[in-house]
Amino acid sequence: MKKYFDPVLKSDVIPDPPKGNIEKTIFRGQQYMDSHIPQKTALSKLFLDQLHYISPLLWLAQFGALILLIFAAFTAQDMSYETAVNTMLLLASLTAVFAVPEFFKDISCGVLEIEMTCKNSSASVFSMRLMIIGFVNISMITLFSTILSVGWGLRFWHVILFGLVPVNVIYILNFLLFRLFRICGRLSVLSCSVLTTFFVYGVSSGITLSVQFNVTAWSIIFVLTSLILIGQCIHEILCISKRQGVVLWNY
Amino acid sequence: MELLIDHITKQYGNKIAVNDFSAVITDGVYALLGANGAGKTTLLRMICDILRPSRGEISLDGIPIKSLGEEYRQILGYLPQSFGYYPNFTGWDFMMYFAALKGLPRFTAQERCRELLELTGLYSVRRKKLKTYSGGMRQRIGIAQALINDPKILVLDEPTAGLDPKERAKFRNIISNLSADRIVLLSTHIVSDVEYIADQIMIMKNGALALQGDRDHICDPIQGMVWTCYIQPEDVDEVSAMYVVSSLRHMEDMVEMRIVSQAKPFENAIPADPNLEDLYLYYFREVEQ
Repeated sequence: MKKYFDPVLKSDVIPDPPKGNIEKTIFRGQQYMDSHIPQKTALSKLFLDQLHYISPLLWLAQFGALILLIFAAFTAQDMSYETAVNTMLLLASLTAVFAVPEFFKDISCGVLEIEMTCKNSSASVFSMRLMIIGFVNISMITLFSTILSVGWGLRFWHVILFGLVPVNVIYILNFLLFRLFRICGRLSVLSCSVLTTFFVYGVSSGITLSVQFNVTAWSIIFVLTSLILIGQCIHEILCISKRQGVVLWNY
Repeated sequence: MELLIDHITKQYGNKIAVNDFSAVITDGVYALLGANGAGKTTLLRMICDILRPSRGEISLDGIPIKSLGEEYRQILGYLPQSFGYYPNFTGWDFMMYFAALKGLPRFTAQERCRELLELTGLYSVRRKKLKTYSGGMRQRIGIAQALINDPKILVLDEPTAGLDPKERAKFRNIISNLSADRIVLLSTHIVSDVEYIADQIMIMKNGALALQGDRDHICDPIQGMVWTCYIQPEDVDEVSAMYVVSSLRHMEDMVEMRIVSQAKPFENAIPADPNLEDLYLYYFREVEQ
């Protein structure tokens, strides 16, 4: 075989390229490879990028609440049921205070207009942010519930409801207020979030003290508020995708 | 590459912000001139697909940009008229954040950010927080982020706002160097920023395209209507009220005025070659009247 092909291959004499051409070609190939933007950004990369830029205040609130609970665990060995419920309401509310401004930081910080022209759509960025913050919130509330139920012998499902329901209501109210009153400044967003949190904490604390706990009622409220919240989130994402609804420059 | 803006209109209730605007944009620098409220920013937002028109369509090489979606944004760079930043972001954080959003791999992003920060003279302050930057520095970093993904369509809304003359000259050079094989569309009030770099100039009035032309012929409508006159200082106010005055210079005992008028305003008026500033003032003085 080789005897047949060798003469054929050697019949065409190809001159060597000018000096430096090979190196230039390699360099240009490397430049092209370096400048190549992947067609689709991996979800994991989008997730890690958004995680990297989550505000430290949010992490501070989450772990601050955890430290408060651990402190309570060491100092209040005989915690009454009412105290435990109040503790859960307070801690859950604390975890939500900085989460809401984090959802809307692109509007409140005036970055949305540039973000909407980036390759990774604002809708996917918003969704990723929702997932991260939602996951962190739910994880922390689950951890608080576990500690309270294990440490003080409370029923896990009861305790977790006292965490999830107020947090859902805080988010629902904030979404409504931001859109209704077109709140967009950083301070306004944070103030609204703090006021709503205190309001929900006060109301839920009052209800739990005055009305006997009914797990069925709280479970129904949890399911309803979750559905409303999911609907609001989907609405926000669709509005961003279709460029509908109220955005900063339509105010 | 051809960007077709086909009879687009944007209406908010009873207010029409952009009124039946049409243009064909190909490679080169396009300047959009207009008074405040003329609809320039609304138009640029629609071109960047962050606002949808009430009527009409914008397409790139025959494909509507709303269908292109991510493909369109991949080749788009945008600098808004005003923009903010996340708290505690340094210049470097700002650039890397948008590099990530624009899909650049990490090492490419680092190289590109370094290159653009050097180009805009901000590399030495990249580790400082954005809140410590001056207005001009923030504007420069805004321009830098618009260039991160080496866009084929660059849209700049008032890009020289807050820049000093030296920075504006540097900006003009950057844009001129970039304009080959690229669409650059910029809106401005500062006529001198575009007079020498724009290939095509579009004048926008009340949401509509009033006039379009290349820089050599855009002033043809007012050819023979620009005059240099010398008047007494006490007559300045009266003349300013009667005519469009493009410039005014006090000399020893006279005032030299550059006037735009269809008819010769004074016996001693000397015809002058019109420039873009004369055209702009003439068009928008008519709006005020």
